[in-house]
Amino acid sequence: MIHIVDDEEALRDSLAWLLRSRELSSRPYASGEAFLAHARSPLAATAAPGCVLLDVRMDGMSGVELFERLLAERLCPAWPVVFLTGHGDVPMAVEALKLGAFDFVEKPFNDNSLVDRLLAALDESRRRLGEAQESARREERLGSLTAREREVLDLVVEGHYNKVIADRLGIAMRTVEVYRARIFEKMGVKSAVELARMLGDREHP
Amino acid sequence: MPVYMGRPGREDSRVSTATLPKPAPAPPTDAPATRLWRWMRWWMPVVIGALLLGATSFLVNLSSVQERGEAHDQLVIDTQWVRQSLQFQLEREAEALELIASDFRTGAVGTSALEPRLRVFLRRGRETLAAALFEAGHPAPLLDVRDQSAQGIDAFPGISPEVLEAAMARARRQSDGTFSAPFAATWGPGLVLVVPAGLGPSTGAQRYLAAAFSLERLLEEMVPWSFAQGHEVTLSDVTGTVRARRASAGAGRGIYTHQAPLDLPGAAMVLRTNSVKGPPDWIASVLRGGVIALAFVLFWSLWALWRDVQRRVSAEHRLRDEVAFRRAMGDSAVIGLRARDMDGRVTFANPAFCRMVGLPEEALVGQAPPMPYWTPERMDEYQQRVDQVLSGQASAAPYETVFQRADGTRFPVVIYDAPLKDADGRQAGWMSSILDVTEQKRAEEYQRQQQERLQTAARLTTMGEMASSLAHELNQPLGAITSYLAGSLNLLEKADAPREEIAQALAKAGAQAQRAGQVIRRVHEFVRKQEPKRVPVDVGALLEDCRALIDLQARRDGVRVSVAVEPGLPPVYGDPVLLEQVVLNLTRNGIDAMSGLPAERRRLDIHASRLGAWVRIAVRDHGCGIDGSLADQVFSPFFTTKSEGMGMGLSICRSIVELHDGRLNFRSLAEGTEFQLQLPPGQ
Repeated sequence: MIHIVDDEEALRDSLAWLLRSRELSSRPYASGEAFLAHARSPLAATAAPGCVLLDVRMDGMSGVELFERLLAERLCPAWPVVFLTGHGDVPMAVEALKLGAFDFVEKPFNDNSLVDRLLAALDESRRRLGEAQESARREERLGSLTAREREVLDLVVEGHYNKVIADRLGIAMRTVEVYRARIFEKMGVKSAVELARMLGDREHP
Repeated sequence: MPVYMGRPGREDSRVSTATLPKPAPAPPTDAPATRLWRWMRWWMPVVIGALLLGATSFLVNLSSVQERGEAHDQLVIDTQWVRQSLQFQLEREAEALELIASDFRTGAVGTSALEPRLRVFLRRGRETLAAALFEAGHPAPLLDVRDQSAQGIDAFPGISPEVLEAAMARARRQSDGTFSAPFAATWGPGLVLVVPAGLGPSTGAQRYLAAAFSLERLLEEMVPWSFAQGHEVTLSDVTGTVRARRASAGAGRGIYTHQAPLDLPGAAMVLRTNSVKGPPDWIASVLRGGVIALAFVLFWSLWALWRDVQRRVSAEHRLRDEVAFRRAMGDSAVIGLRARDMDGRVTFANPAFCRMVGLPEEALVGQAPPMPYWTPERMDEYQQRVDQVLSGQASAAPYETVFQRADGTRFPVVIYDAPLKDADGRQAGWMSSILDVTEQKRAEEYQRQQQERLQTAARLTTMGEMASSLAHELNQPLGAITSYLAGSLNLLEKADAPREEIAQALAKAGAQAQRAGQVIRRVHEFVRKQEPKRVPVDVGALLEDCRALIDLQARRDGVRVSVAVEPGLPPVYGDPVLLEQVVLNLTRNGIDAMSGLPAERRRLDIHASRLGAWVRIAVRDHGCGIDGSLADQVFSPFFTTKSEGMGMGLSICRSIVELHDGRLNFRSLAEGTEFQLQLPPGQ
């Protein structure tokens, strides 16, 4: 789903037409405020892949303002934002890129290359969604560990031998081995290396 | 030591404060030599004056004393001589009478012969008044012979008998001729000589020959006339009583006196001479007084001179201070100072002015017009100004012009002239302050350029904004159109293209194209709103209004501008502000085109004239002209030959002129270019 935010009706309509011709579904918003309202609503299918095509210059809330609001409120993080810029707005778009926008397209644009960019944005959206799912699953598994298991897990990830872990925690080495096996099972990994890789991507809280 | 009091005048225009020697550093006041010198300078004249006074008084005194001594000596000599004469005379007469007495005694001379002898005796001198023969016991003389010169004088009867008797008694005692003491007889002071003459033959009584002398006659006879003229001569007896006096020249003064004893047998007298000559004192006093007065006058004049010198020294010192002060003022001033005499010759230039024009003071002072700092193209203007100033017609208002440095660069100056009065209050010339206003002008120019740049920037910003909004306005429909078309093309590639929908999309694209057209039309309408107003414009007044700005441009580049307007031109209809812009643009181009030329060629001629029913304004420069190959580009936008130009001037000018239904063209001349602005007459 591509969310087109532009105050120009003709542009929204023509872009929708163009996207439809490439068999992409789209949804038009006449203003930044309208999109923000949608993004905040619980009905927003933020778990579905999507992207936002945002006109920089609009009456009311500008494209950049809207983008900053989305970032601030962590709304629809999985939807990359592609800016549409007119003449003279390039510096503004560059600023937006630095803030984390996916791309920008200068008007007048080559329509099919615009569509290609949007497709790329959709791919990015899917990737973000997958990543988010993975992360969620990991958090869930971590959550299933007991406190003692978490302690052992941290030491395992740090790469200590069982004997060291046993000494540190003041338990028997045999007990460590039991914890270890149970952690591997709960986290769905087969080795410490796999476990470290899984947790390495995770941001430390 | 010269005292610089003179102001630069006509005659000594080179003697100016500018050529004053630098004031010598003040001598150290504590040097002992200087103190001695100062002391000597103070007291030397006093000491010399005192010495002179003393010496003169001494000399005068000495000469007076000497003179008195000499006079006295002379008097002594003369007195002695007179005394001697008197004594000789009386002694000789005594001898003569003794001789007679002796002859008479011996009888060689008888009584009868006695009388003639006595007469002979009496003729010896006028002083012997009479001679007589006395016999003791007879008061009357036996024989009394009187001198002829003494007729009528009763010589012996006038003598008191006591005197005679006393004299006879003494003669008898001494048995020799003896004189009596001087006495006063009835006929005057006298003296009697008594000589014993034997005994009377009959009586046996002692006889005496006696001679009576008049002392006055004695003095008259024996004192030389010349001596008597100068002296009072007296004979006194031993008691000091004056018996006879000769004072033909008046009484003596008692200053030069001398007395000499006159010793006669039996009588002692004193001859006293007393010069009537006054003392030399009065001459001496006058002399002395004169000398003293002269000395005082000398003193006074010395003192006056000294005071005058002091005053002069002090005045000179003050003057030097003042000169140093003025010099410091002149030297430190940033403003150029220049003095000129009544012929316009430079008499003074301060360092600031020298720096300004890049010439040493020596090269300026004494210069008469034309000055080395005049720019060749303005000679007439300067001369006119000089004439005005010298004739006193110049206004006190500052005068603005351009000077030239020694290296040929020019700089704008503002000159203030003020009359220069000499010590007598007569005008001796002119003092001018010259202000180099390069920086000021530069600042003004810079400010003006900044203003222009700002305006240009503002204009560009406005244009940029307009362009930006125009682009946005156009981008919308264009973007929509391309999207519709791209989508339609995408669908058309498929076998089962939805024809209905594609047709709809194309219709929408068409509508967007219409919209774009409307944007363009709107812009055009906006521009049309800026069309110039149309009012009758008098070309002469238009050029007059531009004149100040043209002059401003021209002055900076040293270009002479001439404006000629044909009389009776019809008005043109248009926007005066825009037309002014065109004229100013053309003049600016003309002036810029001549910037590299020698000064005398920098002339800009503006000529407004009739061209049929039209009005033509021709702006002609004498620059290098326009290359033929560039001729067709001159009016194109962004064409420029100037490093700083935008290339919009002539293009805009042509647009403005075309708005006024006029024509703007140019032609290259043998020397320079002429732009013609032709405007139709108004309806």
